[in-house]
Amino acid sequence: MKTAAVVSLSMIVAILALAPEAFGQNITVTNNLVFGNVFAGIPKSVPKTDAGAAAEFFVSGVAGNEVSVELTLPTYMNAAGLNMQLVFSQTDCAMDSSASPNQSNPGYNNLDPWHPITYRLGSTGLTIWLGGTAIPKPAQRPGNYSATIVLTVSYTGN
Amino acid sequence: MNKGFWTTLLIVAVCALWVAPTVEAQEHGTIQALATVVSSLNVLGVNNLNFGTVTPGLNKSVTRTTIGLAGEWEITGTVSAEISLDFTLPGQLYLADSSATMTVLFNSTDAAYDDGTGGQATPTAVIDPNSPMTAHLGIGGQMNVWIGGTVHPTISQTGGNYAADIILTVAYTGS
Repeated sequence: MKTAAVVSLSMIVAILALAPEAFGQNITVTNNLVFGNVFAGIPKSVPKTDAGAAAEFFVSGVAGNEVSVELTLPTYMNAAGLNMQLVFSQTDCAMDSSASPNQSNPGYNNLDPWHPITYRLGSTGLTIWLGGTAIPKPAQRPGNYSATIVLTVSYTGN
Repeated sequence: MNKGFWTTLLIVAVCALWVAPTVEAQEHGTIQALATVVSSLNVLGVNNLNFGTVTPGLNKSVTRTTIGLAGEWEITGTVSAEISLDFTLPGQLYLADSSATMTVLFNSTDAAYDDGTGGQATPTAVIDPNSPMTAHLGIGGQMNVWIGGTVHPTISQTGGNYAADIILTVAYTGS
C-alpha cells in the first residue's frame, strides 16, 4: 500500500511537471515619442528610425514564443484644455527581435500600429519603435502638449 | 480501498492541472507623446525707408546702414528658430493721388539682418531683398532687418510726396 501511494504521488508530480507554466513578459519603455519644438501650422513628423525621438519599447520573455503586440494610440495631444492632432500612419511601426536590434533597418518594418501585430521573441527579446506626426493648427496655442500611448503584449500560445 | 485510493489521487491530479497557471499572460507599457508648440512670430515695422527730399533728374540712395533713414523691422519669436524672410518690393513710388510715379530699385546688397550679435552697421549678414531666404532668430529670439534702396526721379518728375508699401513676410520654416 505504501509503495502504491509513493508511485501515485510520483505520477501526480510528473503530470504537474508537464502542465503549462506561466511565462510572463516584461515591457521596458526606452524612449517617449518626442516631437520637440513644433511650429503653428507646420506639421512635424518623427520617423520610427529617429533614434532618441521615436518611441521605443523593449519586450523580454521566452525566446521563440509568439506574442501579440497591440498599441492603444491617441488621436490628439493635450495641453491645459487645448488639443493638437496626432496622426499615426500605417507604416509608423517597426520591430526587431535580433540580438542587435537595428532601428535604421529593422527586421520587421513598416507595420500598421493601428492593428495587433504578431511576432516571435528573439533570444534577447523584441524591440519596438513607433513614429508619428503632430499636426498643429495655424493658430495652435503655445504650450507643452502630451498624450499617452499604451503597448499591450501577450503570448499567443503559438 | 485500493480503487477508492486511486480515484482520489486521479481527482487530485486533475484538480491540480485545472488550477495550474496558463500561458496567457499580458503586460502593458505606457509612454508619452510629447511636443512643445512654440510662441508665434511677431513682426513690427519700426522705421520707414525715407529718401527725404529728392531732386528731379538726380538718383538718390539710402543705404541699409543709415540709421533713421533705412527701413527697419523688428522680429521676435522662438529662440534660434529658423525663419523665412520674403520681401515684397515696389517698383514705383506713387504720388498720393496716383497721378505720378517714381522708380525705386533695390540691389542685391540693399538689405541686412542682425540676430543680436552685431548691429545696423555690422549686421550678421547682408542679404538680397529681391529673393526669399532663411535665417535663424538669435539666442534671445530676436532679429532686426534693414533695407536701403535708390529712387530714380526723372528730369521732369512731378513734385510732391511719393510713397509705396514695402512688405516683409516672415514665417517659421519648422526647422
